Amino acid sequence: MNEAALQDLTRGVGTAQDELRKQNQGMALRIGAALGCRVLPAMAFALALGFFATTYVLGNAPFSPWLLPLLLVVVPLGSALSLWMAAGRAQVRPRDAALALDDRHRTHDRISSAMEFASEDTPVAESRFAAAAIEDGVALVHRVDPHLGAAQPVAVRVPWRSIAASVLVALLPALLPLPAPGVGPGQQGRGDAARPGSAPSERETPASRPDPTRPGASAAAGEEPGAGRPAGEVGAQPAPAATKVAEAAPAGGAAAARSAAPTSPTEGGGARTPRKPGDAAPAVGAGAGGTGQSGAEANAGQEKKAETPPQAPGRKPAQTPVRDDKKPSESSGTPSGAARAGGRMAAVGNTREGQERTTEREPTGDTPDEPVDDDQDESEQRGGVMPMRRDRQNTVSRELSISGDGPPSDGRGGPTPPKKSRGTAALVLGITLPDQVRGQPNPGTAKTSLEQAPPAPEPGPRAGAEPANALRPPTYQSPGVRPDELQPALLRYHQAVRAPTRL
Amino acid sequence: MTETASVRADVARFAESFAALERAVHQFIVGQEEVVRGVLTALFAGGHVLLEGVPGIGKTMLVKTLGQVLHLEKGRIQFTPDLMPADVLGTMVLDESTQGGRAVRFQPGPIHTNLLLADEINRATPKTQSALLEAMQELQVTVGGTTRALPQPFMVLATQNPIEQEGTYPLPEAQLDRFLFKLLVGYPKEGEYAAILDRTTGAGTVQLEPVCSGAEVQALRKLVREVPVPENARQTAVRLVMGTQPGSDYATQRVNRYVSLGSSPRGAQALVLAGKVAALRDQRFAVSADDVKAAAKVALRHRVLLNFTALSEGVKVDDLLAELL
Repeated sequence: MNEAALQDLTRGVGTAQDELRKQNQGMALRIGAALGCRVLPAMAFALALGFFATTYVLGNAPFSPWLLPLLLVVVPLGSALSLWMAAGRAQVRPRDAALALDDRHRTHDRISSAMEFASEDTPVAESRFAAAAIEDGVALVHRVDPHLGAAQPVAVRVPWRSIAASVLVALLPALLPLPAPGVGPGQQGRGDAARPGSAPSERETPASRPDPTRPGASAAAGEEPGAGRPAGEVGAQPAPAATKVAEAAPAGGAAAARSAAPTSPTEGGGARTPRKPGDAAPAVGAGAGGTGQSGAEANAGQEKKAETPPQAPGRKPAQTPVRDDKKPSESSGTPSGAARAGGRMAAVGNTREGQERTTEREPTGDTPDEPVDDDQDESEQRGGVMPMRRDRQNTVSRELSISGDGPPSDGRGGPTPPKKSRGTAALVLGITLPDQVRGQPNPGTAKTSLEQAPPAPEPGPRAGAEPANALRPPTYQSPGVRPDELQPALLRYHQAVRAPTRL
Repeated sequence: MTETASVRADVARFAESFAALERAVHQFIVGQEEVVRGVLTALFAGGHVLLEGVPGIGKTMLVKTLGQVLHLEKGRIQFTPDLMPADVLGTMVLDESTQGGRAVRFQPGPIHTNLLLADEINRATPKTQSALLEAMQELQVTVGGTTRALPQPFMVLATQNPIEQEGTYPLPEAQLDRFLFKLLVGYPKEGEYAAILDRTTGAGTVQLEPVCSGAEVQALRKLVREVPVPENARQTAVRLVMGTQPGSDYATQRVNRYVSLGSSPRGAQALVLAGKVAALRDQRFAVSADDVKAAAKVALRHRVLLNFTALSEGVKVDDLLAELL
């Protein structure tokens, strides 16, 4: 560790350290404001809800609802302020300041590297290059401008839409009529029940509030079942029980219930309940009418379901829906007409077999109809004659490689993964292999070959092109070059042979 | 001379040698500054280079020129589908002596050289391509059970054509990973054509003088290894490499969507080595994060394998790397 150099460097980056802390604070301010704006809608909703709840509990508004948007300002402000204070408390390390200084002056991390090497005791930090780097960094930190300059602006986008939506949500309590002081929300008319302000009041039920006889309360609660529950379920029960169902129903269904309210008590499921004047029955009927005819159908379906006797576990009914579901897929690959019964029909028509099968397959209710048995049976009856689409196997992959992505090609065209040949993992080179002679028990001679013989120029006279002369003595390229002493005799011989014949 | 002064002298000598080599190569090679600089960086980092470019843009000439200015032995193998590993590494031959005796002798292949140009390397079969694996990583070849060291410095400059892919064997990942850089050799600029035509079609020939020897290259390689790497640069290299690995903390959304295989730790090694050479070239004593970032594309582009989605949408590795930077 080079203490002197480290102190020198730390002093050199002191100004940058202070400026970096201020820049961090400014950045924290902007980021905090942005974060606050991001949570603004949720806060606005919570404020509005809280305002409604407070108004409900206290009986009157604690303050003017027009002040709610002003309260929203606190959110981004508080967020920005808290982050700003946190950034101010956080210490900026000298090395970070050195890095910032390097970035500012584009000095290729020379100052920060010097500081790092000066503060370490590792062998690398004590090498001769590190010593040179430290010396270079100390010299540089005194040469460059210690100020970081203006910080790069942080691109923080103002979420105007989010802010506008938040203000609107916060203004809802001001725009909607608040419940009158001292009057419960359940005592308001049906029109008020659909408003968001009445949502908390709808959660109040006669079970939780010991005043079920209030007609207004029953009416308000009775509008709820139309929201999400089947009307028959509500209508089949007496009015006090119907209000219990209203506990679980969401408030938003009240409007739908109002719009689809039946004009006649026979339309909804509440028709089975005898209507009494002044009772909660009309309210129940209105709530049940929220689902209208579908509610009646659902009720009927439920009654049918109730009439069906329970079956023993592990046994299926005689006509199981599984087989019905399978038929379309089976018949997709089979001809139409008489054979459209699916793959169960053999390729050659056999009416007797079909009759027998029909008798065999009478639903007795005793034998379980397992899908596996079905498949096996169908395969046997088909006799393997008619190919079924579902029996189709993937084609044999002829790909010779272990490839990268996805499944191997199934022969249906389209792109295949990048081909990679296997190659040979290892190869013993240069080993002379015995040349096996066919038909002989022992190997023959070793097979070797001379490879990679570098071509070398051969010195020699340049070959000149000249007309052929029959009397010319043989050149060095002739296959049989005689010794020099034979050359005159050979010349005389050639001359004698080619000399004109003297007769 | 103090320790710091000796370091300064060494660094200055490195920068001077690098600049002299660049100048010498550019006496014959017109333009292609980034390619020449990349090849020289790989030479001093002790790595190999894969040059990708269309025919006729001076890839082979670059290697020849480099061999001349470095005064190193150079060899060339034209890779073809019927090339065998023995044609690259060498083989044992039966030699007949003058006395009539016979003995097995090792006939070295063309890989036993300093600068090896593996021309159109993707045309050879994977069997032959794999013969280069040991040579490139271990700097040795094993033939007939005997391991022979390759002459130093050893460097492979392989070329491949990006267009004619029919009938070729794309290099496997293990082979690609052994190249320090993948350099894309592009077409010359308009202003460079005149100089190219003058130099290649005229009567005069350019005489290249050797700038430094193989021993000097070896000494400068050792110097490169001495350069320290601060934490910031090391962290930058690691995050860049991890950024190419889909599913990692530093991978971008596009990397997760388009990358099938990210870079291996060899990618980080390549980044750091390239940063060390860059620091010495600029006469600095430590690697900076900017040095690492500057080498990111050439060091990582061949180590990132795109998936089919990327290929179908025309996404390039360089674009993904630019996002990471």
